[in-house]
Amino acid sequence: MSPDLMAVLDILIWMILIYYLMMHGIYFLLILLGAMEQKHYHQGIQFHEFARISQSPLTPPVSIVISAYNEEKVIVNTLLNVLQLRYPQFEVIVVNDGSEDGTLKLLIENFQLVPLDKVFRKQLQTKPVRAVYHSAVHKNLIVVDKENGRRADANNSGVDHARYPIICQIDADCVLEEDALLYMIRPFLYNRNVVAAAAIIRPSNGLIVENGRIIKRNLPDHWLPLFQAVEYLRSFQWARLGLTRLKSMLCMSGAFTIIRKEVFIAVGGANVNAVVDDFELTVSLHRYIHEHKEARDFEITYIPDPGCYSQVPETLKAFCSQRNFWQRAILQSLIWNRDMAFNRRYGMAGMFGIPFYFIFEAMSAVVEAGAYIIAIVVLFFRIDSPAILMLLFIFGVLLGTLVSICAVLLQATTRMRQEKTRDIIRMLSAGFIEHFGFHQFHVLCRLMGMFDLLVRKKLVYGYRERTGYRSPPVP
Amino acid sequence: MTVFFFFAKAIVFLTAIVLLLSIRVIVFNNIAIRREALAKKVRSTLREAFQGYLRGEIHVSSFSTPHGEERFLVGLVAQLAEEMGEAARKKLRNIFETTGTHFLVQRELRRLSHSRSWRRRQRAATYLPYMAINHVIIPPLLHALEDKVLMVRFSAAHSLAKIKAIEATVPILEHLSAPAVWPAERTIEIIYEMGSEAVPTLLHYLTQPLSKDSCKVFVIGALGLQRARQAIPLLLSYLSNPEKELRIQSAKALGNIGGSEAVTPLCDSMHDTAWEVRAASAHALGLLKADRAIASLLGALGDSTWWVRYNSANSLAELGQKGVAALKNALTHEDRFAAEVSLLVLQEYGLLKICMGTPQP
Repeated sequence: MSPDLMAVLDILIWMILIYYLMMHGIYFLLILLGAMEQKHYHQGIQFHEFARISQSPLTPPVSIVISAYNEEKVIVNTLLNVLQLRYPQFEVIVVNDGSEDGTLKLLIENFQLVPLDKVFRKQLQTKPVRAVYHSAVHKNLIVVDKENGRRADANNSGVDHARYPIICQIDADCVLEEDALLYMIRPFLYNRNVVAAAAIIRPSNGLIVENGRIIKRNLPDHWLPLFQAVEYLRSFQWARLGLTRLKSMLCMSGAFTIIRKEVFIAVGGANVNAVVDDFELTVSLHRYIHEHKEARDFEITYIPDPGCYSQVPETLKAFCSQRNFWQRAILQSLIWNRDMAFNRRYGMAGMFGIPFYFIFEAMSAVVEAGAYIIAIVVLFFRIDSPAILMLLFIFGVLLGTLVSICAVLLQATTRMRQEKTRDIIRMLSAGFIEHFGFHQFHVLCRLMGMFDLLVRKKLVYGYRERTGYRSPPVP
Repeated sequence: MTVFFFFAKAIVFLTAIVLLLSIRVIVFNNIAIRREALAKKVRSTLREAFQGYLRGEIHVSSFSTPHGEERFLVGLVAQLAEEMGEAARKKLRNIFETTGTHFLVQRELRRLSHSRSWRRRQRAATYLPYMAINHVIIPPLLHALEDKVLMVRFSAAHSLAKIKAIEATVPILEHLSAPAVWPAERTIEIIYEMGSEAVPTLLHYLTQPLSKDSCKVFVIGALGLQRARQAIPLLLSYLSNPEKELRIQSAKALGNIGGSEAVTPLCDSMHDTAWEVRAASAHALGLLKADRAIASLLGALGDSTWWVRYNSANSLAELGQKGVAALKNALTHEDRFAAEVSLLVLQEYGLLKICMGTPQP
């Protein structure tokens, strides 16, 4: 290898090592910041507070919007679960987004739906609504049947039909804790400036659900969902909480979000042209806050109480499809909103949030793939390859493992720790193992996502599977 | 490269520490699980004893809290008091006097006044009503209403409302109305928690010329929730107040209280310039259930604001046979919006046979 090429290789190795150090270092700091935030949050909850909120005649009513596309395996249980929430006043709006399976039929049968000529104020652009139904048994349930237009379109339609000033969006595969809505509404009660809140999401794969009620909260049985449980812990529980503290949290998960209706409409609703609406909606909210004088004090908050569980993929094919989709969503939104990056007008979201997500979320797959290629080149052409390979391994793999383990350990010291020692050992093991195989596969899926967005211009989700919930064993 | 090697060594060192920490956490988790089981047992024993005391089967002097287990006492007493009601709360307070745990009360009083940590002050303000009699805790709680941290003020106000300290009504109003970000509903809830004993004080506050409008909003809201009939004449006068928020709250409160004397003034409020007042008045008229309101409500079916139309139609449906008949007649109203909202409400109430596109009254 020529000396010039050697020099270039050296520079590349240095850059990759610095990148790894910065990425994992920032994540480590975010996790610590998130842990501090969580501690403050739990200390701030007063005795008997949620019972008081649930009994107050002045707790604001909430419209829960559930978008459903081919969800026949889960929709009935999800609805049963949502209808049992402890909350003084709420309505549930299921938007059947042109499902091709038996979703609508199941809803009509199980909830005794009858057609309704609902008059509503159309404020957001959506695909045509075919029919609106209401339930003869649950007075607070409405089903909107519309032509397929993907989740953003369905959510917009749900918001159009919502009667209440606060909207809660959940995915059709979500299971909520009985008090989930009380957790979510709490910041709105004490601060007028709170306009949106997101919450921790955990994998529902180990849950045991009976008639929509959570009976047991087990960890997933298989390794693939377990790796994702560690990932969710690192990302949803700690890093996003830390990012919220820095006013830079750019992804309120569409699986469980609560937002003021007037603000949702003011930002133009969910973007129907986006690959996925949640990331784009959060960025739009930040943009709106910084571009409008009257919205300057608005706040987006994050609830570190585990109120929502969502199904994570259990097969490699479904996992790859999901991560491909997420990568496209993040990248597309960041490209669309590139004017916000390093722009002081957008405060911390512009100065830190957008650059952070672009450099360390969207581009990390490219850098990591580059690191693996360089490792192979070094192995073949350099005499000092063992030392460099060791450096790449320590900075890329060991440091990542360290961050994952710290996330698990931090959780074990909080009130949300696993009840069984066996579960802690499983989580720690998953934290160790995930960087040997799983993580590399994840990188590959994300690279495919980038290719699909930039070259193939792909917008649709791709392969998806639903497994339904686990029921309690028959005695 | 030297720098990178230095960092690499540090990472390896940190990983080794984290590995050791993992083992420690696993071991300590086992210990924590055992401790938790033990604590559960202690709590369960204490709980049974307290329940026996509340039933009158055990005398208070026979209690003995194991040394080091006092930490459970406050939380357990508070929880039981919430479950069993006001009489239980008053009785359970004696436990701290007679079981040698009075130092806990002293500690919380000290924390409320002197602690630097606002969370400790907040905790003290929350738990004191379960621990000591009113004349001991009212002065420090009143003082806590002036705390610089809003959440401490909020907890103190809740505690004062819980023990029905009427003398705290006006201080609560004034100390919780200041922050701009603080929603009015939270203060209304606290005043409402005071109970009907606070009504004369609230009425007096409304008549005072120096009272602040921002506080009056809370007072009117609380009077409505209390269903204080003696407030009706005053509330009627507030329907024509220049302050929009006071008119809205008055309309809402009059609806909550009920009484036929409010019907005509509320019908007049259906012509208010602010749509929020019209919507609140329409809703209130439905709660009053007076046939006299039908004409006004029918007229409002064609209002320019959707919420006024919707509330009016809902109120008509609430009025019974005559209201429903008027609503069915409105299905053929020349104003398309009035006909649509009538159809929607009739269907929502299940008062109309549903057939998509062709309503059949």
